[in-house]
Amino acid sequence: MKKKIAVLHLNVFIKDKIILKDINLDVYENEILSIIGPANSGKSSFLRVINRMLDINSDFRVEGNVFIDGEDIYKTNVNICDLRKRIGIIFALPVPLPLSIYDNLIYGPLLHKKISVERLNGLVEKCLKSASLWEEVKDRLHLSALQLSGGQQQRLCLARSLMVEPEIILFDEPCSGLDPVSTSKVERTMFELKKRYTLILVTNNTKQAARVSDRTAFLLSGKLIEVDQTKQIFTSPKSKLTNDYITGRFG
Amino acid sequence: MKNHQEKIIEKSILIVAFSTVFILFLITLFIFKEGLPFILNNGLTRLFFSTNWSPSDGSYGIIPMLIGSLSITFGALILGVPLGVACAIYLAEFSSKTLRNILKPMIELLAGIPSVVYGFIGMIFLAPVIRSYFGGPGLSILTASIVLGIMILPTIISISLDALLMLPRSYKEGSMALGATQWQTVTGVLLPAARSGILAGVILGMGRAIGETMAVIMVTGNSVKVPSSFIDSTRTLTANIALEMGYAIGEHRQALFATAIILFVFIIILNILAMKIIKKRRI
Repeated sequence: MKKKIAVLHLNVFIKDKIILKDINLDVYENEILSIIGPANSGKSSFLRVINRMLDINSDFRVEGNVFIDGEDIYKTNVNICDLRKRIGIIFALPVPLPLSIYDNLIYGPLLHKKISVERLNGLVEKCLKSASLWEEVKDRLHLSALQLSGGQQQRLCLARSLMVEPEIILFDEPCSGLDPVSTSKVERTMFELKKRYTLILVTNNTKQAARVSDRTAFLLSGKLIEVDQTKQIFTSPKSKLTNDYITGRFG
Repeated sequence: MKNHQEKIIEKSILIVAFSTVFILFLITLFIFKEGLPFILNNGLTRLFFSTNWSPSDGSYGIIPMLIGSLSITFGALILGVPLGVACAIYLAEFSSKTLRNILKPMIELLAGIPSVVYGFIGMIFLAPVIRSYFGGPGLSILTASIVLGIMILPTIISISLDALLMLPRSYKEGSMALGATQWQTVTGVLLPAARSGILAGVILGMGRAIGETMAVIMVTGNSVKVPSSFIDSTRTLTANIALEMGYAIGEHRQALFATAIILFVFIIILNILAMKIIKKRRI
């Protein structure tokens, strides 16, 4: 399998407090990698390092290297906007923009280039179908996105990030606010997306990690304790810490 | 016993609260009592269908002053709105927090400077510059527009800034995550989302510009005629009342109060509009 993301000796500091310590981790193309770990273990920060959303935070420092397709994304000549276009992110709370469903979707593509209306409409339909939302909203695309339910909003955000044709999609606890039905819809969508994209899923729900991911990484207090095939992690983890965490005996 | 005390405090606070409303009511009553007879006797036509204001001949056309007021207000908005909104955008999105915490109180301080000081600076420094560059008397619509444009900045900036800062952080993150630049995020998401607040700021600034009197008296020249260009001198409705009320008697005095009624109604409409816009949160 081809390496998509390579993280080498990554240290991250926010306000001089160390958040991630010496992380070494590879992510392969077309896999779902889960990152599990208790709160404040640096999972979300790890995602924000990969698409450089951390840059919005002014007081941070990154040491080490993050390579995507062999290119160091923290080199000075990297175009951050292009990078974020290639790497979509789904946040824990759905973040629809205060626009209509349709305008939410076309917002991304129109930032980057001019596209004809027909192509846009085709793209909207394709992405909504990929996010399994098309059937529910096809008749009311011009309704405000804020009127959708939480689960629908989350899938809209997913469709929206697909609109800019990314290569990697990061999920930051995407189902933490969703009911079981919406959760399973999002998970099924993730399975479909795996065929075309590389997915990283941060989750507090170890069962979800076991259900959807190919490999699982366990983070604890900013350190990568273990990363392995999901089956391996959940049946016979090498580290006692991992075992304690997934069996719920932690702390 | 405690309960009794509580009741007394509650009632006295109620009285204090209502006294402000009562004062507003008294002012309204007074203006209408003095000015309404003129409007009832003459109709609005005598005020609005004449460009001649000469109380000694009994003609009370307020059109010159109305044009003066509106053109100066409009000029002030042309200067103040882009400057104010741009400043609010900078403070909300681009400046560091420390810089914002220094600049914001300073901008609010701008609102506390007495208007006579603005007028003074406009008269001493700005008017000669305008006279030498554009010609005309110097005391003109343009001068007044610039002075007023600066005076309404604090209103526009602080209300627009609050509207921008109140937006959820998720709007910004959602937009940036799609690869938008900071400027694309501002124009594509943040400004449209905050537009009701910004519009309210603009309307309140407009109210301030129309109502301003002292600074305007000092920099417009106050000649009662329909201005022919933006470097011509003019007189505003408010200035007219302030300048003439001291010696006006009889019908003249009533006509000035009628002018006040028109201003009053105008300001009330603007304020109601601003409140409606602030209340009506989008979507």
